[in-house]
Amino acid sequence: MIELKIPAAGDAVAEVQLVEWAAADGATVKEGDVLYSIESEKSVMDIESPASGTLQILEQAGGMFAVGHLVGRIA
Amino acid sequence: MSSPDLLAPLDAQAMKAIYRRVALIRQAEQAIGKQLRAGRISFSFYPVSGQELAPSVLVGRLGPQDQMVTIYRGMADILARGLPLRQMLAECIGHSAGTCGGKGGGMGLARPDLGLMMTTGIVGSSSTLGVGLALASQLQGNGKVVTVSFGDGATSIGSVHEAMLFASLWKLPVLFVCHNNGWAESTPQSMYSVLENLSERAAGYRMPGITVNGHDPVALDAAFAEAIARARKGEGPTFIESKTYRLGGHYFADAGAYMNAAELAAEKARDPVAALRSRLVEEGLATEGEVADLDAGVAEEVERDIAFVLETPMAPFTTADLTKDVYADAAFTPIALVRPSAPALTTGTMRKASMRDAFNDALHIAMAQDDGVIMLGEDIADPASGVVGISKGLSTRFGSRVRSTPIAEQGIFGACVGAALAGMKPVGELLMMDFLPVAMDMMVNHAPKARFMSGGQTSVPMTMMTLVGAGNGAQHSHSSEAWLMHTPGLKVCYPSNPTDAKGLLLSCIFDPDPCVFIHSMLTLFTPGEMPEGDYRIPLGLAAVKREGKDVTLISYGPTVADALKAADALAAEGISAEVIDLRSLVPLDGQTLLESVRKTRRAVVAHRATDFMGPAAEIAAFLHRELFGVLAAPVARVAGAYAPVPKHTGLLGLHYQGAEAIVCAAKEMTQ
Repeated sequence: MIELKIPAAGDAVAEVQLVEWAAADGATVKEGDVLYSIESEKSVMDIESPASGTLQILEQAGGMFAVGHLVGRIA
Repeated sequence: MSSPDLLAPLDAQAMKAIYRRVALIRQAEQAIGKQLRAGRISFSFYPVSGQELAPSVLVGRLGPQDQMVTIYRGMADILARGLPLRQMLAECIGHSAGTCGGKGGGMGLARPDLGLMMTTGIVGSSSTLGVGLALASQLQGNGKVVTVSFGDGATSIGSVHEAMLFASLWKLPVLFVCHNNGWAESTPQSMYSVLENLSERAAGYRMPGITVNGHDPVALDAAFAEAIARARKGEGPTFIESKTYRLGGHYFADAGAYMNAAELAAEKARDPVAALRSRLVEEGLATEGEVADLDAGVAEEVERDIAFVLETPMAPFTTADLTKDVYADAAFTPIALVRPSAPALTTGTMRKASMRDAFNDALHIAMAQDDGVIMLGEDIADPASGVVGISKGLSTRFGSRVRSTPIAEQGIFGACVGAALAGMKPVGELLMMDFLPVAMDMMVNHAPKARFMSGGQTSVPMTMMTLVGAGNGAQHSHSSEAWLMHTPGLKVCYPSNPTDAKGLLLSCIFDPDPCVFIHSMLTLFTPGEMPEGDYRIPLGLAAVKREGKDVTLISYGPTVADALKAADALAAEGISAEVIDLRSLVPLDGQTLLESVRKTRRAVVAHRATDFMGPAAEIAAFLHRELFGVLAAPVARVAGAYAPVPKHTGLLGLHYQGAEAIVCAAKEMTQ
């Protein structure tokens, strides 16, 4: 089980918006696939999967989350 | 030391070596980006894509003893010079396996045995540090060449200009390598500069300034080779502008929305890494197979090193690790509860001397004793010998080790820090303490942090001497010692008499940590006496100037005279005051303070510096904490008012009220 946590998107960024999930809950993903994108005041960033497995989405797109917040898992 | 043949053009082997370095930097950046995006690692990352070539070419022309100073966007310099990726990346993420043990981070990378002397997170400061390293090379005659890296945006800041002036004036062996990637953070060159080529700056300093296509290894190589040859021959510095383009945002995750998309796409299409790869094959310098093998070798190295960083557990740590490498002594605390043992003063006969004489004598002794002791400052060379005459005879006796400088405090103290990084023991004179803010970047961000940031690999054994004026108004009379005492890594002393001044200055000069030696115009010319010859007074040792039993008067510098005068007045009223001269403010002699106040149960702390947040506040807090049940009254403070120092003589007497106020405070608590 690998936890998906909001990464730090640069200096002085404490909170970002999870813009959208690129894969569906329960989908099979490969390491390196884009899983979701985040947006801060200064940037948009695609977040890639750190592993291959089944995606479990814990937080819905559109919300604001702190850096380090758990948004999903790869099982 | 064997340096590459500076006349030979790049051959196939050299070109392949350059390509391998370039490929390593690019692949490392891509791999780091992947880990950042996956959230596996996190740090402030300043990518170098587009500007890999110049560092990769430069290091091929440097010898093993040559030195580099780089900046926060320094990954290309660091990897090109040969620091293993795993040690660099581990440091960037603050991991114990990093080259500095994780204390410096990506903006603090250092590895002196590879010539990577310091990385700075302060724009422009690399250049004044480089000037100091180059000054050390020149004085030590060891032939080392120093390169300083900075971005185009840094050409706007004063420290770079001061460094260029010093380097040109003294013909120092230094290369100013400006990586012009088109952007000062998110501001394009056209919006912050009136110049087309930033190398035009060099003309103002009568220094060769060259703009080179940062995508052309042959042109870069020729420029670096010529500049290094010039530096080694003692002909002075060169400014080399490598024109590149930053193929992304200012920092990782900066999408660069302010960048012109078409321009960026065009620049990506002429990516210098891909272009060099093609050129090797097209010009027959390497076969496609050889280049593919190089790529594969780099990929394997990058994968292995990334895995190492991800999989290596953090070493266990304790709070002792936090304070290690702040000072040479790992057990150092700003308030020492154990006095240093006092060496006996020499039996040297006493002679009449003012504090100025004491400084002059100490400097002569130190410079005669150790070739590493040098002195820099405004007006210090003979015949001026400094505005107050401290350096009389030094330049006549010690030649180029004593230099009058331009009026440029960032340059003076940057040179001191850099020369200290190279193992010298520089003494820099800051004419008035009010000019401290001009030198503050070096005295706060560099001198006291280098040892810590490098995990103990480097140190800065320098001394700043500075004078507090008297009666000269708000910008020539301030006592700002609290700023320095608030800076971990610095030692601070402030003597009251010639004997202490000489013994403390000698201790500071030979101390392994950066010291600030403060003195006052009020005591500089006061007739007194001092022992002949070399003797040392250890930092952190206070002096009991007068014994007493009812109240302890604690002070330092010129205020000690006020405390002694107050003690006389109090004695006339039957109050017995003990007077302590702290002499050294960091470290502070806690043992002597506690012994005295435990006996008298009362304390007045006096200084000219502003009362609010001043040294007396810390001393009072210390005494209240340690002696809460013993004190007969709260510790009183007599200090400068919360206002700038006025010129108005009447108001000046109200700003700091001296002996009378000390007497009042002491009487109030003894009644």
